[in-house]
Amino acid sequence: MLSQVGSWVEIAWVAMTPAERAEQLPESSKTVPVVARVKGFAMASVALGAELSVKTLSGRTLSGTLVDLEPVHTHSFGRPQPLLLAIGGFLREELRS
Amino acid sequence: MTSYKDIIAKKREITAKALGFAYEKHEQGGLAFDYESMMNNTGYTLDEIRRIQLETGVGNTPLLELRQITRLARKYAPPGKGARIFLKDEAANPSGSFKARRAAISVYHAAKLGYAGVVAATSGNYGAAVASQAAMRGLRAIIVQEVYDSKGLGQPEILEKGRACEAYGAEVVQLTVGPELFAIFLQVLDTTSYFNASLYTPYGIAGIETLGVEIVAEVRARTGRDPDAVVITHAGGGNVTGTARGLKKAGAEACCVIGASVDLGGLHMASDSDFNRKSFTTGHTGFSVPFTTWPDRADVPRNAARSLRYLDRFGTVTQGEVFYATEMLAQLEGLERGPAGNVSLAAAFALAQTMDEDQVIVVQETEYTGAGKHPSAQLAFAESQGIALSSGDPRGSVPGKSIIIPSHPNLLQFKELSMDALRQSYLRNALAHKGAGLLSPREVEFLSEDSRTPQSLVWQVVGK
Repeated sequence: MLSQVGSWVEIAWVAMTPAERAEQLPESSKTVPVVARVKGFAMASVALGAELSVKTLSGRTLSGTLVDLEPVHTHSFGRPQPLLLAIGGFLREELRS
Repeated sequence: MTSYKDIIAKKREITAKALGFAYEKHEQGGLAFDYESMMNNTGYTLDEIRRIQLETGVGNTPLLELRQITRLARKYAPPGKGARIFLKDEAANPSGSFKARRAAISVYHAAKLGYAGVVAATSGNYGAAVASQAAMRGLRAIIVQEVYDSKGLGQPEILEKGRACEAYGAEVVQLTVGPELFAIFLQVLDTTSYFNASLYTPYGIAGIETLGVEIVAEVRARTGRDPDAVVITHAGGGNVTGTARGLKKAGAEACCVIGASVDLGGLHMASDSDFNRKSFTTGHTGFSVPFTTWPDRADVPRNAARSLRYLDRFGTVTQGEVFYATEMLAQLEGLERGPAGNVSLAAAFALAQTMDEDQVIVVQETEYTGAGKHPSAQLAFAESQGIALSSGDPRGSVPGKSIIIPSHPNLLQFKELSMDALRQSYLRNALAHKGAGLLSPREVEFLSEDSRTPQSLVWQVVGK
């Protein structure tokens, strides 16, 4: 899969290696880098995993590894929760009695 | 790339250029500075701030009386108890939260000084507020967010807030977990020469004062009295500080200022493995306790948000109780709102039951809700992270391990924290920052003001 020039993509880069990170981090954070991601319009046609520059919404040009093409918002309202669904009826009953 | 240490070492230099605010004018040697002179140095009066906010449709949000929830609280309260509960519907602001008040002044000021854009470090609604205000004033916006763990898994609420920032036209730099957020934010400021729209500047706090002022005016008009208590969701301290300053400016000196946070005790905020084990991304103890006990951990030389100066009481509620309050607000009052204000609502429901029927308690904010922010989104995500969900007594829940939805509304509780313990913790932190050398009389006086502790007690703690 190649990015189209001008298409909406996401790039990522290592903003700080573990050695460059803050001191006194919890164990689980010490060994991993700080990774930055940003979305923008592709300035070249390259394959996923290749280096790419993008024009961001603020007009900056940033470079990183191409990690996603037309990234989708995946967050949702989640599965209905039986523990929550029971609350409304119970409370209305409480106000009636 | 540059290391965290190297960037933080340039903090004063970078922020001075990116704010045009003379912090040094208010310094009084060592730990001490003149807080009130700093706050009065924004160059804007309360009336001017109100006018600036009105230009972009910020403020004058409805104050709603929660009649059904008040009735329910009275059902479980002792005879004669059960204060009237009001709610300030801050979701009616342009970006859907009270944060528009903070952003309005920073962005106006940035435009006035001729900056081409604004930058803010926030995982929260503030990003959307800055982006929205920047859109209205024709400035560019960059938001730096902490979003992912090292496996690239994003917290749903923060993903939603990032989406909102982009919807208003901001560039969003999304980071993995860690305190390096502030350093990378400083780097962006340094390379863009944009304005530092930090949450913690005097502008960011002055913008919230109108919220306190509006609450007093509306409660007086509706009930003929001052609010007896205002419950404020407490995170970095700006909400508490700005609202309380507004209450005082409006003359409600006797109003009890109560902070409420979600209890996330035991979870480390900088931990890659803890990051996605929480269902609340702000308004929790992971921010409120460290910021209350040492405000100057922020991205400015001196934090204008200093909650110990204003808090009369501070306590916690559990994650399950906030989800319950969110349902209660939707199902009994017809208001579907996001998590932040519902932290205060859960607390207010319990607190109202200890107050007299003719008294007034105000929940001082709501925020918009939607995909990612909704309780079902958060609970489904928690379940996918191995958090145990059940119904019962929420006091048995353990942050990061279990969430217990109250099986009955009379189980909602406000767990009071000791203000004295927080003050002592602040003083110990101050001492650690002082390092070697004796405290000057002005430093002792400052610590006394900043923690609302008598000087004699400051000496006692410092002496230890």
